[in-house]
Amino acid sequence: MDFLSGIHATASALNAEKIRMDVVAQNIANAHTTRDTDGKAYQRKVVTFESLLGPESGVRVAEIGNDFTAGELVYNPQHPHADKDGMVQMPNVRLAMEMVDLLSASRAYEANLSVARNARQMAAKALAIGR
Amino acid sequence: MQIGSLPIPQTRELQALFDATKLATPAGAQSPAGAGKPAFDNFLERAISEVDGTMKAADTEKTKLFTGETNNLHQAMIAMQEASVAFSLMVEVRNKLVEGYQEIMRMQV
Amino acid sequence: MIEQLFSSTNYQATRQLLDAATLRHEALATNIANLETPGYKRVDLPKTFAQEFAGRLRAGELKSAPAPQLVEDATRSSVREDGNNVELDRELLALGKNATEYDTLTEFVSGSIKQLRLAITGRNT
Repeated sequence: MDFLSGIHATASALNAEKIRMDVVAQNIANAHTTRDTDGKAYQRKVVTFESLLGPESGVRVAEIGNDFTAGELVYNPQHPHADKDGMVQMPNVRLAMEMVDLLSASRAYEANLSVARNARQMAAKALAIGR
Repeated sequence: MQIGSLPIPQTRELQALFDATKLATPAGAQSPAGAGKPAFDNFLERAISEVDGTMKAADTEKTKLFTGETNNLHQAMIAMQEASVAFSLMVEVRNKLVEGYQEIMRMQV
Repeated sequence: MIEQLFSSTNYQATRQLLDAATLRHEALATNIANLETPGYKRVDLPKTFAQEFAGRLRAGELKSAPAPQLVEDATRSSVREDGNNVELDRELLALGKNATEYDTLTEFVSGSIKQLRLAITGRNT
């Protein structure tokens, strides 16, 4: 049963935007992680979307990839992860960028929510036909 | 109608009356399409089958919605309302007919 | 006899427009869902839909109208480097407008049905 038109697309988008917000949260949380599981500084994750076609149209997360640009090198000889010159490889997370991403993800999330609300109102109107 | 076979004496007269009403249908009222059937009879039959048709259409729309073949909630609602309007039209016609019949039955001869 | 109750041109037109409004909602929902998809092109009813519909309505050929299909809207140029041509505010405005149109159309249909019911039963329920 599928009463609300376009609800598949909206649901998939809400899901995708939520994943994106999770990834942003992870990036911000790891803004100072100098040792990841691979022993190097944390690399920020980037979510890419792809559109789905057909009856279950919408959007989905194509992949969560790494951003390979180099992070800052900071001189900090006291740091346990400093190399022999006293330089520490910091993660390539930039807080300002992440905040922008977070804002646009939450804005997209809200937009999709209002689409769902709209669909529900339309269904309610259809149910009131003849009443 | 097997009224005549009942062992009550008055039913004979009833059967006679029944036969008489059959014969009393004027020849001009016969519809060209219905073979020997009175026009009104035909009309009722057609109306009832049309009401049945709208009901079936509403059912088809509902099934389509359930199976996900369509998501047009409004079309299902419209079909259901149309069926309900057609049905209430039929019920009203029936009520009027019964009313008319009772009016005639109460008539002092 | 029963069909004639529901065969007025405007009533039929309203039903077809309701279908179109549902389809349009689906298109706009898909567009908003794909706000961040690289290379996505927005879909919508064909630009000619309204004109064709008006033409059919005037000519009294509503019955022959094919069900509308969504098409890619290539006319809207992309202002973003990823080639996506969805603009959120436009889509949201169109969504609101479409919902209002849908409401209006359901009211029209409702009105016709209620009027018929009143005529038949003499009651307004």
